[in-house]
Amino acid sequence: MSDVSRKMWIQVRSGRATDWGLLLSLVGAIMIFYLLSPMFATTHNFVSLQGRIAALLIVSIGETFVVLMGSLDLSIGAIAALSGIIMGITVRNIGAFQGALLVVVLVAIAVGAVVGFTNGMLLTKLKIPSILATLGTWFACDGISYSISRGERFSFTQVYNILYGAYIPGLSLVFLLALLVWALSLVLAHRTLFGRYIYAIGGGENESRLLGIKVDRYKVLAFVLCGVLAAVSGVLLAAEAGAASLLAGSFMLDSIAAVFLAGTAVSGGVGGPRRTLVGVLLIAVLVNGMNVINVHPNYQTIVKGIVILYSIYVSIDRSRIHQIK
Amino acid sequence: MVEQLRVRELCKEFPGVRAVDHVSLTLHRNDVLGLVGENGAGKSTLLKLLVGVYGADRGEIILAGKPIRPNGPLEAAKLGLYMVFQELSLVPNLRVYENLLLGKEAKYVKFGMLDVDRMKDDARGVIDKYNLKMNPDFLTADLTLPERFLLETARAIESALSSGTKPLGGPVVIFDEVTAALGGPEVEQLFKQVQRLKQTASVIFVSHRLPEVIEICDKICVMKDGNVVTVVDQRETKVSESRLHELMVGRSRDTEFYKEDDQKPYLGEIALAVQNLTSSTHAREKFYDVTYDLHRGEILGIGGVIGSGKSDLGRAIVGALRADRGCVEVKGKSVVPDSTSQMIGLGVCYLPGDKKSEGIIQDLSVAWNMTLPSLSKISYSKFPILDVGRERSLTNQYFEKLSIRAPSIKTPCRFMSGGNQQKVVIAKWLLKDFDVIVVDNPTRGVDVGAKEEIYGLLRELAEQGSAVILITDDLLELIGLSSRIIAMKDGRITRIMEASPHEKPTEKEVVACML
Repeated sequence: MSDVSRKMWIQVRSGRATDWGLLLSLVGAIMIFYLLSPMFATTHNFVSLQGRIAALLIVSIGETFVVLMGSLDLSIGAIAALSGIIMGITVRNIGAFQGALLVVVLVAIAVGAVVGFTNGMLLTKLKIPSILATLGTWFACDGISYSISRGERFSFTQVYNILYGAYIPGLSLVFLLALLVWALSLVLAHRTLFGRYIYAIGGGENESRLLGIKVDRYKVLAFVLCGVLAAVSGVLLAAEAGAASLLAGSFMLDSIAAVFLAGTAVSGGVGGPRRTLVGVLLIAVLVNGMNVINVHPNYQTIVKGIVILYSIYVSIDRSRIHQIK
Repeated sequence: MVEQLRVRELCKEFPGVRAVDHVSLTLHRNDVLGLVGENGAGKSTLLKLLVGVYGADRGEIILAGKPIRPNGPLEAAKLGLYMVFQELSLVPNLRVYENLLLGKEAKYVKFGMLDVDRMKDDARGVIDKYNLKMNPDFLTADLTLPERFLLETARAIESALSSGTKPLGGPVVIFDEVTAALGGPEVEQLFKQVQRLKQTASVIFVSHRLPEVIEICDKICVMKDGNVVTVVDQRETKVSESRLHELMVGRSRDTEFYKEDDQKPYLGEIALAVQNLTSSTHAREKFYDVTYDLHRGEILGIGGVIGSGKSDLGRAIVGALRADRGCVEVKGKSVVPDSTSQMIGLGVCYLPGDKKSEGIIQDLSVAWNMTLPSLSKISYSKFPILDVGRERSLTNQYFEKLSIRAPSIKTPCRFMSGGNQQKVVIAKWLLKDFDVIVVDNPTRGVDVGAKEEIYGLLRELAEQGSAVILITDDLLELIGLSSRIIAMKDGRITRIMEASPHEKPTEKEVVACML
């Protein structure tokens, strides 16, 4: 065993979270797809990969803050779908001219904020655990989506052209936007009161309250942020697919997997958006790569499950978990 | 007289303190042995060593002639050494009969299923035997605290009795402060059970309530500073309460250690006034009609046994616990403390007793913990972004000043010792401006060096005109540091004593007001 691998092994055995484990998984996945298919490393595929990364990254950043706080938001997929459909209706009603893009995004953000606020109030005022509260809003949002869309298809060509245009060769606007959101989230997490308090609440709600932090207010804010980002990614997804889709469940699971993969602890207080980027890249590369080498969707899901389990096994910090249940 | 349990030269050291220091003790068969001593005398540690919650550093435990080394209460119980815990070990979401027969379900299996009717019948038998007056179908969580204690006691005694002939001479049952939550009638009931239990078992009885100990015990062992002072034989003549007080105290106090020469007379100005504060519903430790003034530049010590109400009184003042009645006057305003953020806004801050779960966020770094209450102060004035450069220099300054021992300000607090964590908690409030600080057991679990540094800091705070409320279980610390001492007993103030340097009250005087 080489020194590096021995060190890694010791870290894995002692349960310490490692940045390297996850990065190695990512590099490994890229290498494998590169070797398996000449289609993987093409400009065309690179741009398509960017689209997937962008939507997943934006929604996962929101989820990261919620998980960091020790909660969980299951409604993000449903919010994304709902915002996509509402965007469709908005575009149909006001037309798809250039200025409409702004209106569309604002409407979507409003939708996300309302649902996120509802989640936060359910948690803090009605004291419903977040995993159950957001399960409820997930169903509710899905119901609304079905009833207002009535199976109608919406066309987003113009939105797509704007968002997915490569103004810098090889880099689409959405991808740059997502990276910008990610960079802002780093500032938010590490350089603002909001970020610090989210870490504090996740690390110890009781302690935070004793310090005079208005815990409930920040919990609601985190859910609003998560809802808004989910709505934004819903806009991107709908624009990319050319239709508002209701494939919300799997999108939500991908995002939660990315957050946990990246080492933000279920118990809260540890992790952050910086590493979420790596988790998102791994999931996106995996899905994209398997599409490129023509793996049947059913097997894709199995492989995804195995990779997630493996990555969590090597990256989870067991010293923090008192009881594994 | 036959020896049933014998402890020889038992030692247990924690960072900075010899909790149990070469203790040798004998419990004779069918005796009730009382164990008394001040908070921190080593009683609890000794009991935990006996049932294997802690492993002893040295020494041996001999049960019925055989050396034993249990590695936990369960194993101790198998060997015939039962402990009724201060903290309840009942599972709240189970029914009464399920709790009574917990671990014995195998006896009730019929055709692969539990014979619930027979379980309930047996449970009813136990309930009647101990006069518990409860339905076996009751949910344990719905019982009152005294009821739960009696249930727990009954369960322990039943397990001990049903152990049969193991060990030779009957089991040993330990009661750790079980009467603390009980009222008069329940204590009577418990005593009847102990008397009955004595016929077949040997008992160790620990309590802060000396009259109870004197009433029920055949012998009383007095502990102090981890040592056994003496064992009083009560079978001929009962010992007096004041004699026990004398035996429990009488340590020499190092005036230098508590920096008593630095104690300045406090100022006339009142920093905070507590008026008729009462909490009899929400608090775990109830307290009634507490009224006192706190002056600037003063360290006001509050002492009392565990359960006397002093800790929850502290929580009520800082808004961590809502009082039923009364108010706190601070900065010319009369408020009913409602939340810690409200009280922090009024310059009243809190250093919790349980720093592991209340004072420190274990996963955050030293720096992040330190600045958490004063983040708005270190933000840029023009836009809401934290000035991390300023944060770094501020936290480094306090890191040095308090000589916190950690690799750096980025070290997560969970890797640090208790004393250093405590210093981080203090630094946190030093960074924030305050007028009044309530500290609950600031040196519990802290080594001697860090203790002295913390004492120095508290003195410095008082000197700068802050007012300190020191709630402590450590009698010497209470007397040594305080300018005045409030003694509490059963939720009420029994006495307020002046404690100017060179005219400090003696330990005995203070203890007499607490017990």
